[in-house]
Formats: sequence, structure tokens, C-alpha cells
Amino acid sequence: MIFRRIKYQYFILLLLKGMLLAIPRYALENGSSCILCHVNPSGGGQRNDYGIVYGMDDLPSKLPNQNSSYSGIVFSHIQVGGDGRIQSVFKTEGNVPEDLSVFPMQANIHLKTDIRKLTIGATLATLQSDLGLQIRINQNNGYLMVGMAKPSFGLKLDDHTAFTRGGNIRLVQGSHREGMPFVPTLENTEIVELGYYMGDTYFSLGYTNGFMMEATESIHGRFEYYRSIHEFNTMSGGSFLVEGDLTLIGIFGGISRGPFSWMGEVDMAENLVIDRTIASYSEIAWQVKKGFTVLGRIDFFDESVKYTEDAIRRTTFGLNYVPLPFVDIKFQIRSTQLSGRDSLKGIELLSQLHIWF
Amino acid sequence: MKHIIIITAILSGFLMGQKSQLKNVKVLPFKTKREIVTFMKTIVAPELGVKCNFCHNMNDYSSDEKDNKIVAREMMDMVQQSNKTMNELNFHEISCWVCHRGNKHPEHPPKEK
Repeated sequence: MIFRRIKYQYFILLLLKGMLLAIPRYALENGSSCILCHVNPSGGGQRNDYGIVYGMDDLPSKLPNQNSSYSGIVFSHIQVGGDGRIQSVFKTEGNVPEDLSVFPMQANIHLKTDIRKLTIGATLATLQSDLGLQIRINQNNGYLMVGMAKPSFGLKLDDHTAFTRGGNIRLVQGSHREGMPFVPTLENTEIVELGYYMGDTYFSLGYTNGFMMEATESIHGRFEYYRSIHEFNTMSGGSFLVEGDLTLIGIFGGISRGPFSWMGEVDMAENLVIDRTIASYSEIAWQVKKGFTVLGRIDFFDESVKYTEDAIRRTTFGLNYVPLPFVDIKFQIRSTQLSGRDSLKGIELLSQLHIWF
Repeated sequence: MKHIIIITAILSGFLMGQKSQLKNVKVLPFKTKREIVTFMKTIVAPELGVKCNFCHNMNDYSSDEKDNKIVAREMMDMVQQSNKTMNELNFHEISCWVCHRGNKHPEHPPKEK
């Protein structure tokens, strides 16, 4: 049993290569694009000055007594950041693993520097020795980015098991796939991307080489629109990715008012398995008080729309607790059900510690 | 190859990178990024009912290329001058809210003479 558990942990470790995870709910609540808090225009990874202050002042339930002037500047020219995640999963029924598994998900170091109109960002995923590099030429409200990165598609959720991302990496429900192709095994690849901000609207269009399939060129595009109407903040957008025969199209959106927010995403893939595959994500969140958020979520995945017996629905209830600046703790209870079958496929208890700076 | 590119990029940052301190701050009295971000986030944005991109280029917050930022700087200078007088008279200080009331442009412009 111990050997099996260790094997499983290393299996997961190998799979989680250099992920960039983000929390789009924060973008929605602020009525602004991901670049408000992140160096990367499409979110995830290193935070900018606003993101650091937001993490210190707006997220935690308790603020330290001293008024910290921390800005991530370690050397005078280089801004340093990092993300560390440890996760544990406990399953109650006959699914694998049968007992508690604790594993490190992420230990990334980020570096950023500005040289005139250039922004250079590098990310080292220390657990997996995967390197990312983006050189961004900023001009007016637009940019041209070249380097090694992943194309952005849909909402970059901080949970890679969402069916709109990678889903169940180990196929536990007996399907060919249990999630969209954005599994954490995907490595950074050569990328060229153009992006433009026009008021509350953000567009990007890019080209990559061999992102999912070796020696296959792909193009990707993204559109986001943020609008604040009285006390409501809204987000809407869409994205596409075409690589060889594979075509992915998705739409996403959300609305928030005060402590309540909803956001969702629907993605469609052609030729991912046989014909058309659909994945969706819907999350309602309530910030009970500063630092405490409860949320309910439904993930849905239909491997092939032709067949009715292969759809998976996962229901999640969770609590996010941010006790101190840069410390985020998640607890979730999840249950999965297959279409056409009444019995639940076990209950999962998941906890995650995320430390970042 | 990837390693060489990354190391070159980091070294060039050390050698040529711009110092990450407050840049192009001409009117506001703040010394740290945290002070300035907190002021913008809690005072300016809600009192004008705007988001950062109303005045700032999201790629480069220090840039003056947006006209709204130039106007905002003039306005902040005006408020600071007004507050000097208010302090001398021992009155409460004012902020953007006095005129803007959560709007980009004050709803009640001065009476036409």
C-alpha cells in the first residue's frame, strides 16, 4: 500500500508541469482584466504591483500590524515572485487512491524586469525543471509577446481538475477522456502573441508550435469584455484554439454584486475523442466575510455528444480561507455522478494550501 | 538552448533593467508602491466610479499617454492646493468625492454666467 501511494504521488508530481493557475473570480469582482493583478496579460503566475497590494490588503481576514511596503523587489531591477501549492485528496469509496494522498502541486519561482518598452518575465517550475520565458514589447495599449509559454484558452482556473481544463488525469470513470486537453503535462512551447487593450475590452491572437501535438502549428485567440453597471460587475469573453484537426471553441462569463458572484464557461471540442466533446463549469461564490468565501460548483463533461452514457457531472462545495496575506487554504467536498446511473461514484475530500508572494 | 536564453534575459535585466521604484510620480506625496496603489484603489477609483484603465495604460501604469491621466494629475494638484487652504482655516480636507460623487464628470457643473 505504501509503495502504491508513493507511486501515485510521483505520478501526480510528474504530471504537474509548470502550471499557471489563476483565480478569475478576483478579476470579475474587480471588473477588470487579469492584467490588473498579473504580469501575464492572460493571468496566472507572477503578480504586478497592484496584485501584491491586493493580496496584502483585500484578501486576508487578518492584516499584519506593520504597514508592510513589500513590493517583491529583491534586487533593484528584478521583481521576484513565487507560488507554492500542496494538495491532499481523500476518497471514501473504491476509487483509486483508496486512502489519503498528499502531494506537492507547484513550486514556481517568477522573475520580471522592465527594459524601456520591454517586459521580460521568466518562470521556473522547480519541481519539474520546466522553464517559461516571455519577452513582451509594449506599445501604447498593445503588446507583442514572444518566448516560451502556453496559449491561453478559457478561464485559467486554479483547479486543473476542472473538466474545462484537464479534468481527471487518471481516468476514474471509464471514459477515453475525462476533461479537456489542458492537462498539466503540457509544456511551454514557442509562442508569438499580439494583444490589445481597448478600454474594457481585451483581444489577443497568437501562434504556437507543437503545443499539444509535436510539430503541429496552432493558432489561438481570445476576447474579454468587462463592464460595470451600477453595483454589478460583468465579464464576458470567448476563445479558440486550432491545432491540426483539433478545434476548440469556448465562451465564458460572469456577474458579481457585492459579496456574491457567478461565473461559468462552456467549451466545445471537435475531434478531441471521436466527434464533438463538451465541457462546462459553473461556480457560485459568496464572500461571507473578508478572507472567508464559500462556493458551490458544477462541472460537466460529455466525451461524445453522440452517446448518452458517457457524461460526467461533478458537484463541489468548498470553503476558501485566506488567514494572512499570501496564504490561501481551500477545503472542498466533491461528488461525481455518471449520466444514466443513479449511484454516486464516491465522495472526495480535497484540501489545498497555496502560498505565494 | 532554453537555459541560455533565460540566463541571458535575467542577466540583461540586472544590467539594463529599470529600477523598480515609483516612476513618473509628480504630484502625489507617496514613497512606496503600496501607498500609491492603496490610495488609487480606495479613494480615486471609487470616488470617480472608474477602473484603473480610465487613466492608465494597463501595460505601463507610469505612462502619461492617456489624456485622462494628465487631467487627473491636474485635479489632484488642485485638491492638494485646496487642502492647504482648508488646513489653514482648520476645516476638513476635501477629496474627489466633493465634486464627483462617484461619477467620471461632476453631475452639477458650475452655473453658466
